[in-house]
This record gives sequence, structure tokens and C-alpha cells, in this order.
Amino acid sequence: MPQLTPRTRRSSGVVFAILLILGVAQPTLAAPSPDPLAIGAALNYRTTFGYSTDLSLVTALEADSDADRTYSVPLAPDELADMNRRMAIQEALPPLLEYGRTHEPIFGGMWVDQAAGGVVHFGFTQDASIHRPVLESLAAPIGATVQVDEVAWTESELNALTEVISRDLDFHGSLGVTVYNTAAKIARNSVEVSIDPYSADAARAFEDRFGPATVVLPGTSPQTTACTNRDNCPGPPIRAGISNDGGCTVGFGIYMDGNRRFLTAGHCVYDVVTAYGWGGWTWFHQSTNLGLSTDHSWFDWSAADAGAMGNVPAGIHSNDVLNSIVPLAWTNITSGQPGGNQDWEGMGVCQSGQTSFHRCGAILGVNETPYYGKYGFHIKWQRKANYMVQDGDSGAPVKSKATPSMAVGLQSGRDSLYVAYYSHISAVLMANGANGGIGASLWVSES
Amino acid sequence: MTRLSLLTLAGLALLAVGCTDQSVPTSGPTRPTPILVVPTEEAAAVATLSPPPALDPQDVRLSCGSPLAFSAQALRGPPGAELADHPAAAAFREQLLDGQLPHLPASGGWQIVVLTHTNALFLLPAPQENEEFQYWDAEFEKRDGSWANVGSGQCVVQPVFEDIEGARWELAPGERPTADSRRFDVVVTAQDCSSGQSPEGRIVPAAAIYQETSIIVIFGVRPLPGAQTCQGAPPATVTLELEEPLGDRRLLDGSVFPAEQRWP
Repeated sequence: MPQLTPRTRRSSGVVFAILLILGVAQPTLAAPSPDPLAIGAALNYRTTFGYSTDLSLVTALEADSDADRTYSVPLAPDELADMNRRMAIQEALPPLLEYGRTHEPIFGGMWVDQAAGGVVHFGFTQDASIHRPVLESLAAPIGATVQVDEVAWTESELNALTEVISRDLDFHGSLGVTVYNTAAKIARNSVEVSIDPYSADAARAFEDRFGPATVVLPGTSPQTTACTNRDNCPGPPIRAGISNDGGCTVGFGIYMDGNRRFLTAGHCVYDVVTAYGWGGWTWFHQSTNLGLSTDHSWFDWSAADAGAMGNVPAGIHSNDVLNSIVPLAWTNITSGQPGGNQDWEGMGVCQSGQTSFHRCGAILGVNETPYYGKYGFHIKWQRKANYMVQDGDSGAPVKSKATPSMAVGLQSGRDSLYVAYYSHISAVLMANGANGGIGASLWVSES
Repeated sequence: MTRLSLLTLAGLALLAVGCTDQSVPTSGPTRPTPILVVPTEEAAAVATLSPPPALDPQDVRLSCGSPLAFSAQALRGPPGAELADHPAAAAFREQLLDGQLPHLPASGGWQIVVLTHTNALFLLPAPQENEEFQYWDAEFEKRDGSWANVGSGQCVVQPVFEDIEGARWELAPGERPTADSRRFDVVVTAQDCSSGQSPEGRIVPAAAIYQETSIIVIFGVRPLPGAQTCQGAPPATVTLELEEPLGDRRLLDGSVFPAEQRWP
């Protein structure tokens, strides 16, 4: 996929204005009139990649059924050649990025300015003049134009600050604002924080607290762009309760062996590992890479149907469980229910799965040993509950109904439409993994 | 395969209600197709199913994911049921206001769609822009003389079947029905939990509603017995036969509400 530079408000406005013009001035266009939405998409693309936005050219290309659409919008032959060149450069960039990251204490990141023709930028907090000739020599064989800049903050600092700001919920609350997004911006060498309601005082308070790398912007709920349904909710961050492309649901975020990972059901990981091996399947939600299968505890007489995938970077990881899309709402998990008969029949629990969504019911049994005949496996100490569960819900987070911030389990299977089984979170977190005897020690918070 | 007389197939009335020409969305609640395809044995020949029994919309019953079923007519009830002078409504009000149901909107406008001596089911329409579910629901049961909340959440209204669960379907790749068409291949994706196994051999042509401008077809599957895991499963292809030619009517999948258009 092409690497996109951030879309500016101005370009969106231009496109919108042109669309409006198209809507009222269509008779002036050459027949047949192309779809205004397709024209809008083409103009957006062209703005992003710095190609001509001349309307007569764009409409002519849209109407030309022979125009090349390899990159989703029709391009002229010279543009196609240029785009192919950029993609070839993109393929060859990882070693240059790796060079930067070997200087992590001073590396400010890499980004590509597509609007300027694909110039590859590198940032360093010091010694830019030393690294410039090295990067230019690495870039020459692949035909890339590089620019090495002196920047104020390293990529690592920006990523760390992003997480610090995201997690400081008490501070957000003290200002009466909601933080809709926190993002490390390499191109701007800053951390952008989108808040609502926005005020100059609130913006200043953020900048005072988190320092000059912080840029505060008016925020709106990202629900229409970042989260349209549970199959398209890429965040960041990733939240439990959404689909993964293994046909299951993303479970709680965890720390495991010092790494950031996500849970899902053990049988989901088992299926993947059985079919593709440990390294043969990379988990995704849409285009967000959730890493490889790292462990599972799906075997006969296991006490937990648990699996893990990762590692994921800090900006993607979260302890959140998605509750609803409209309005976009989630619960931050702050604890896991202790083991040892801390739950009981009749206790309220809620599952948040990709197929059945947010469903609450009551525990029907706290020591169930269902036999999953297809696998020939008994799973011990499962909880039975009376909420609806369907295909795709495996791995879903289960939390307390009365204390929604407390994780209680991981969705496993069912007896019937209204009778679900889940593994208790304490058993999940202590599960002995199957991957090379490493032993999974799963946990839902960094502490 | 035998005809399905067993279905007390519910839901269809609502589907019919929701399937006027103006109300059928082109998108709606979707269950993602699993990308993971675990190697399986070679697919068997496509089975031809007997025509789904024609159903009167009046006979349809619906559910929110619990055994409590209701009619489409019940969905037309007035809002404000949470204020009713009834112990179930009183218990519901108290729990909403006390924050005991934090996952539900603490707002008015609830309808009651089931009310018996022992059960009550309240529904609140979800925001229209919500693509995934249509209502919030709260189910109460009378136990030892008092009304307790026994289930709640986000409700995807589905037809109720007896011993059968609804399954999504789409026309098979390359199928382009004409006005004379009565048979076409469809790809059926089950929603029951089947430990990742295809619904092949378990698919039931549950019902069809023949209307002036559309034909609503509902497929179901017979759930597998015993404990099953709930990862996604590969679909199966079957041949659907209708009792009438399609004509210029649209084909709709009625396993969800509102029914989703499948053709044209």
C-alpha cells in the first residue's frame, strides 16, 4: 500500500468544494459524466500524491475505460510510471529505516512526503550531518531522494509520550474533556492530542503538563472514520471486542514476558498453528498487524481456553473493551477478577464479541468441564453463563456486569445459543502455554 | 431434504415490515467472513434443497438473543414503558437510575415487547446511524416475588426458530437470476457455533415470504450437539428452489432485521 502523508484539512476542503461544483455544474462536463464520488476520490488521491488535480484531466481519465487503475484511481501513463517508481522505492526502504533505528537514542523517525514526489525524510535529534551522507549513499541505489532533518524529539520519546497522555485519564477528567485520539506524528515531530470540548485553557493545560512536544487540537469522536463496526475498528488503539482475521474476537490486551500482546481464544490460535505453524500466520484487524501467534493453552484438560498474539507497539495496545460503536464507547479494564471462588451462580457478566456484540447475562455454573468433541478436549473450570454467543465470538472479553472495569473471563464456546462457556480470567492469566514450554504468564495491566 | 414443517419460524413478520422498498438497506449487521481457511476435506457436490415453506408474516416471531420471543406487532408499541405502573417497570427504573445497568442507556423511550406473569422484555431503539444492532434490550424475570434483570445488551433482532438457528446467505459467485429463475446456488454462512466446521449437511431452507416486490428467504442450520467452540466457520453452497419464479422482485436475506437485499 502506498504510504500516505497526513491529509490536510485544506485538501479535504478543496475536494469538497469541487464536488459541490460538480453537483451544480455537471452540464459543462464532457459526456458521459463520471461519478462525482469517483472524481472526489481521484482528487483526494491526487492531492495526497502530488499529481495534477486539473478537473478536465481527472474527468477524462475517469471516463477512459482503458486508463490504468492499478492504484484504484485512473492514472495517466507518466503518473503510473512515477507511482511504480515510488512503490519500488518503498519496497526497498526497510534497510534505511533499520539504519535509523540502530541509532534509536537520537532517531526521530522516517516518513515519506508523497505530495512532494516521494521524498524520504529522516529525523535525528543530533548529528544529522553525520547521518545525512550515509543515508544518501544507501538511498542512491534505489533511486530515492532523502532529506535528513534535525528534530527535537526521538521517535521513542514520541511513542512513549503518546501512551502517557492516553493513560492519564484522571487529568483528562479534571479538565472535563474527552481525549478522542493521541497520535505520535513523525512528520511533525510532535504528539497530537484531539480533545473535546476544545478550549485554549485546556490546550494550555495539556501543553504545560506534557511538554512542548504536545500539540492539542479540537477533537471529534472518531466513530465515523476509525470505527464503523466491529469488523472495521482499527483505532488506534485496538480494543478488545473486535474481529480478528482468524474468525475470532480480539480479547483483552495483556503484558506477557514483558511484551504487549492481545488475547484470543486458545482454540483460535491452535487452529492457526495447526494449519500454518507458529510463524505462518500473522493476525490482523483490517490492516492493523496484531503479530504472530505466541502461545495457547488449548489441550485436553486445560484449565483455560486462552491464546495470545503479538507483539504490538504501544500506540496500538490498550486495556480497553469496546462497548458500542454509536456512540463510540469502551471500558478501560483496570483489574482481573481473582481466582478462588470469587464468582458465583447468578453473578452478572457481560461479553463483548464481534458477532453477538455486547450481551449480558448471569453465571449458571462456576465449575463446568465441557467436552469439545471435535477436538477431543475437556476444558476444566469453565464458567457457564446465559448470554447469547455465536460464531466469531470466541476470544471475546468477558467482564463483570456490576464492575465493568474488571475482567472476569475469555469467551470459549457454548452449549446452545443462550448457554455460553468462558474461561476464568485467573486461569487465563496463569495458563501454561503450549509453545515450547515457555509457559504463558498473562496479565491485563502493566503493573 | 424434508420440508420444514417444524419451524415456528418467527421473525418474518418483522422482516416483512422492515422490507418495504424504501426500508431495505444495502448494508446492515454483518458477520465478517473468516479469512482463515483451515484445510478441510474436498467439498461435496452442491445439495439441492426443497423449496422453503411459504410463511405468513403474521406467524413470525422474533428474539433478541434470549428465549423470550415477541411479534413484529409488539415493536409498534408506544415508548415510555419504563414508566409504567408495573413492578417489572419499577424494578427496571430503579436499576437504570441506580447505575446497575451501566451498559444500557439510562434514558427514556423504552418499549415493552413481552410481558407475562413471570417475564418482561424492554427494548429501546438504537441510534439510526448504528450499523450493528437495532435495539438495546433488558430482560426481567420474576423470582421469589421480585423482578430481577436476567439479561440485557445490544439486540440484533433475529427470527426465532425451533431447533434451528438462522444463517446468512448470498448468491453464489456468478449467479445472476432472471425473471424466470426459480433455482439458484447460494452460499450459506452459519452463525451457530460449530467448532469451525462448515454447515454442509445441516442447512435447512427455513422459510420464504412471497411479496409483491420482494421474496424474503431465510436459511437456518441445525446446531451441532454438545459443547462447541465459536470461531468463524467456512460457508457451504447449496441450490435454492423457490415455489414461484422471481419475476421482477428483489431477493432478500431474512435472517437479520431489516432483511438485506441480495439481488439485484
